[in-house]
Amino acid sequence: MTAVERTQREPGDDVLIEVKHLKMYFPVTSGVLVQRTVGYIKAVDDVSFVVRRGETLGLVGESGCGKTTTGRCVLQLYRPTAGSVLFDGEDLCSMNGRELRGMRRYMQVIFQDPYSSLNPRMTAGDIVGEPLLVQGLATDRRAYRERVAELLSLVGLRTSMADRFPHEFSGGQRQRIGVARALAVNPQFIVCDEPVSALDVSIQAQIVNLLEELQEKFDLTYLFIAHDLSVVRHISDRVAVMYLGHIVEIAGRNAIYATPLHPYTKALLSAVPIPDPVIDTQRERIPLAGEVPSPLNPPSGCVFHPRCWMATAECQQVIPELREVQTGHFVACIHAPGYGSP
Amino acid sequence: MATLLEVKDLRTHFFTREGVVKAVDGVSYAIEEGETLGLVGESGCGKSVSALSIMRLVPDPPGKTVGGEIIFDGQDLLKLPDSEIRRVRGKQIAMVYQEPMTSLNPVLTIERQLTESLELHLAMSKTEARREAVRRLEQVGIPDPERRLKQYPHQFSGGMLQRVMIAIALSCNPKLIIADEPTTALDVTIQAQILDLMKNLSREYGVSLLIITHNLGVVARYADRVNIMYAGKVIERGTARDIYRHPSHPYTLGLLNSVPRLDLPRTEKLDPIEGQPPDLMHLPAGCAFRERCRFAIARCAQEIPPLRPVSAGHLSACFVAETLLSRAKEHAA
Repeated sequence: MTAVERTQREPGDDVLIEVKHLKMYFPVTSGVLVQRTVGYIKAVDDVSFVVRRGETLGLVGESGCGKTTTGRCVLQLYRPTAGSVLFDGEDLCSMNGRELRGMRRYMQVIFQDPYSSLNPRMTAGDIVGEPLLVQGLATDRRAYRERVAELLSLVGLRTSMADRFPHEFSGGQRQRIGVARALAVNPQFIVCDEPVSALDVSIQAQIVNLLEELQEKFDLTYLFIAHDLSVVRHISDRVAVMYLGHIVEIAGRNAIYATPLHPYTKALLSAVPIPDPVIDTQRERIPLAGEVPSPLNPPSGCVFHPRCWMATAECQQVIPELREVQTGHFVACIHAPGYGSP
Repeated sequence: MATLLEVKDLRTHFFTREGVVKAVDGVSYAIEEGETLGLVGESGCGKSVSALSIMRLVPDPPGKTVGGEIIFDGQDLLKLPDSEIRRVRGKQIAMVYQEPMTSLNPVLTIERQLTESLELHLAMSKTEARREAVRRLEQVGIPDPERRLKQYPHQFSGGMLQRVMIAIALSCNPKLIIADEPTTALDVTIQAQILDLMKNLSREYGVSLLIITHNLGVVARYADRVNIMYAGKVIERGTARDIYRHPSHPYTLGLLNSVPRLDLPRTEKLDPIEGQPPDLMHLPAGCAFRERCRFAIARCAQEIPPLRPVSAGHLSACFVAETLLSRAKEHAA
């Protein structure tokens, strides 16, 4: 057991999801007739974390950092290159397709774009009810109709809307359909992949509140993937920050926003504009130069070092592991206070 | 400060088979020289259509500007013949679009896309235009511009492409740049880079900026004055400070309250605006926001509230604006 696993998982903790040394490499091929692998995109590179029962773990980062890939690997929508994903102690990575289908009763997903993730030829009722049929949970026609109606009203839609098609709904209503579908099989765990970023500001808050109400009601566990740091702070109990396939910091919601320890987290937080011109101009800002490097050819050592203002020669050589520097606060930076010798 | 552009009672409607969509319905605003004006609203509120109308780029059919005036440099852009408006587009008023990945031509080099307007509007020779293109790329912070000029859009990252778009927009020294959601497709750290760049360049050259966005934070940081739009109308206008500190329209207040804020303690629950944005084809009588409004009174169902001053330079289109304003001031104090 590495330091991370030992410390992130406290004795007596009720851990639902445990991800260990997860790696997802996508091969890059070249050649027309004979495809040769010329390299790998290291979308997720040695990521470990736990999600406790009933909590929301926020996963933030910029596009291409591997947050969505991580979410999909947890659900085995991608089969990871290496590592393991334990759901209630059972390793999903070693299961075959049939066994996994059985597990999908307990884990579901809500996708980002409610405009493209719903089948336009199915009615709202059929979209919501489909998982019941797949999992064989509907005993007869009447029970099925009743359950669909129940699900629709649970997410704030009228039951009479069951016969409408997705194009007849607004963005916020479509996302409610997506939520109802995820809830249909009574799951324990839901991966929410950017569930509000395609929605208008005034509608985002409605969906966030809905997700929170449902969590309380059904004791759900969420992995909440998003790039909007303010929304993540609101909904998460703990937050993990990803950069170029690595988790650079994990901590409780308050700790990570009040005292971020990784330079990337600091820069990311300072870049978020505050909707108040007076306060916004008073905030300290840490501009980040340059752009995220290609995951095809990531930098040596700490992947953040080319953009980091604290980087030293050592950062180019040592890959910093995630270490606990304060209770429950993990960081992967050799210059973080309390990190110790690299 | 002199007024650079004045939009007066602009009406742009879309004539579809199902009916008439009044995307922009009686919008007026002015942009001063050197000013950064924010146009804020959610999808479908008419903010982009109002900007496209300035450039006369609304697809016709189905769109048509059916009324109003757009006074720029003493002339009404809506009355100019096509050959004349082409001389304004790109030269005097330039545009930066939302998605740099799709708004540049993928089969032309960056050089061609940069030099095109220089040769067309400023009658530069090929070599002159090339030299100018290199200078512009340097100005927007693109390293190694000589080599980059020969490349195609797919060889650039999103942030770099947006810099190219800004270089193109700046190339003919325009008086106004219209930026339609310039950073929505970009990551938050890159967003800050691009907006800082635009703001600095606009200061340096005295170019006015019209920033169209749904992001209240972006506008707070960069705009001098702000217009808030809802259902095809401007419903509140004021300095950024007025709008954020003393919102005087229930919709503005609702928007500000519904976003979680990093600088404030976390609240137990978010405070959303209930309901859905209205269908522009079947707008309710009276105020379009009435059905979602917590402050609605009987009068809201009968009359459309006009945009009127509530304090110096601060306008609101709400019958109870004064109540909201005094509440906001009390709250701030």
